[in-house]
Amino acid sequence: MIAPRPYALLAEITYRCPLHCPYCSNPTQVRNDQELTANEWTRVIREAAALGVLQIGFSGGEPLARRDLAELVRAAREANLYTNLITSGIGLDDDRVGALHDAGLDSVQLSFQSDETGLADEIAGARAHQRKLNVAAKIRAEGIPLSLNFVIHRRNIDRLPQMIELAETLGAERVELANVQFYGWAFLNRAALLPTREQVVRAREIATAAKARLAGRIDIFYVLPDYYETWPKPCLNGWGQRYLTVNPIGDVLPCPTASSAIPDLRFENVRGRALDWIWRQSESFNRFRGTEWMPEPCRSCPQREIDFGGCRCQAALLTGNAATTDPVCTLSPNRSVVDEVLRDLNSSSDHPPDWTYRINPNGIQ
Amino acid sequence: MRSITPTVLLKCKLPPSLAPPSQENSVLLFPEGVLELNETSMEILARCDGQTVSEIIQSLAEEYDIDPKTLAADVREALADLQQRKLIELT
Repeated sequence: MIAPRPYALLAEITYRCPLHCPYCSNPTQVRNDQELTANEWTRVIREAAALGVLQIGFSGGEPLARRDLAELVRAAREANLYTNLITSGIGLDDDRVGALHDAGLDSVQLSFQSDETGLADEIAGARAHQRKLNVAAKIRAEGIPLSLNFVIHRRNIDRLPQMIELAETLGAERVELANVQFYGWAFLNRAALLPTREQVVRAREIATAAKARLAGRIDIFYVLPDYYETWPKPCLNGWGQRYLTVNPIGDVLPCPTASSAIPDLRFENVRGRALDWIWRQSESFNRFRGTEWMPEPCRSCPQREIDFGGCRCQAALLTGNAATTDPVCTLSPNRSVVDEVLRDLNSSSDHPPDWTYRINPNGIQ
Repeated sequence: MRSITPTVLLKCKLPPSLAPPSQENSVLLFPEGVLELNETSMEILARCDGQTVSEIIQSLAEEYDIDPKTLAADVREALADLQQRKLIELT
């Protein structure tokens, strides 16, 4: 099929991070190769722009762990891309905020773990919350549009009203309230992170009410807890349609979690291939592109071009086969896998187990 | 009557490299999002340059030779939608 035009590049410039959040979507095991250099990234950014990409998200790990971040932002602005920094904020002092703004940074998405220091620092596995509050103020003072990102899970979901209040206090323009999605470290820690049905119902009411109350002031983006949904999420707007990810060592991924979730997929690397070729021709981008790959019940489903069969990584993680219907779908023959997880959780009054904190990859510097 | 200006968000025209000629739409970019604009929204946004809502309606009515009363509700709805998504600011 003819490759569509990609809109957004997620640049995971490092997997190093000073935080240890147990819900991190990074792979739990990463290859110990050299990170791409600034020159290599500049080439990737130019190739992405030539391919039609309009927006770049600098992410990680913690992108500020790379001292050359401002250089990369400048390269992206020179390629006429809209630039967004997805960050914990740790390491963002006055000088660096100024340098990033000068480089043309369009927007910052700052993560928070909760609204209050004790719980937030416990989740992050680091003393980070107070520093984040300072960083938010610096970003606003510099005049860069600020979004707050909260990952919502069993331990913080009951504080949703206070988290929304924090966003108001800090002058954010957007708030992303993202129920945890189970990939990478989050999949490993699912039993500790998955909220109860009662929590999910209440959170949805709070988010809906806040969205209406703050309309025109703060844009609230609520990411649904998909295990509790009936229909799967339209993951990526379809495989290889609008998004591509380049990871720290230059592997090009249709989705940031695909490298760990789908072990039999082989990824091309920007050190060996042009981005244009990888996007259009590679097996990894074409395997689930369009509707040809679909099994039943997706193949004949009227929703097939709306949800694209859901998430390939989730199908792989829950059924062992990426080419099946996302088991979240009520029509999936494997829906019982999800239902059993929910039944076990909601019928038990036990405390959730402890989680395993994310650790930094060995050897990657 | 209130005037309207787009916010800090970058408005960007698609380069023609990959898009077929008929799909050479403009888009609005925001964090992790790309909003494809249809012709009507493009025409409205192109007029968000300090003109009031009424002036925008009037200008569109003249351009397309339509009764302003017919247009008004649609234009206001489109603007309200963009404002709700924090893509423009009404001041």
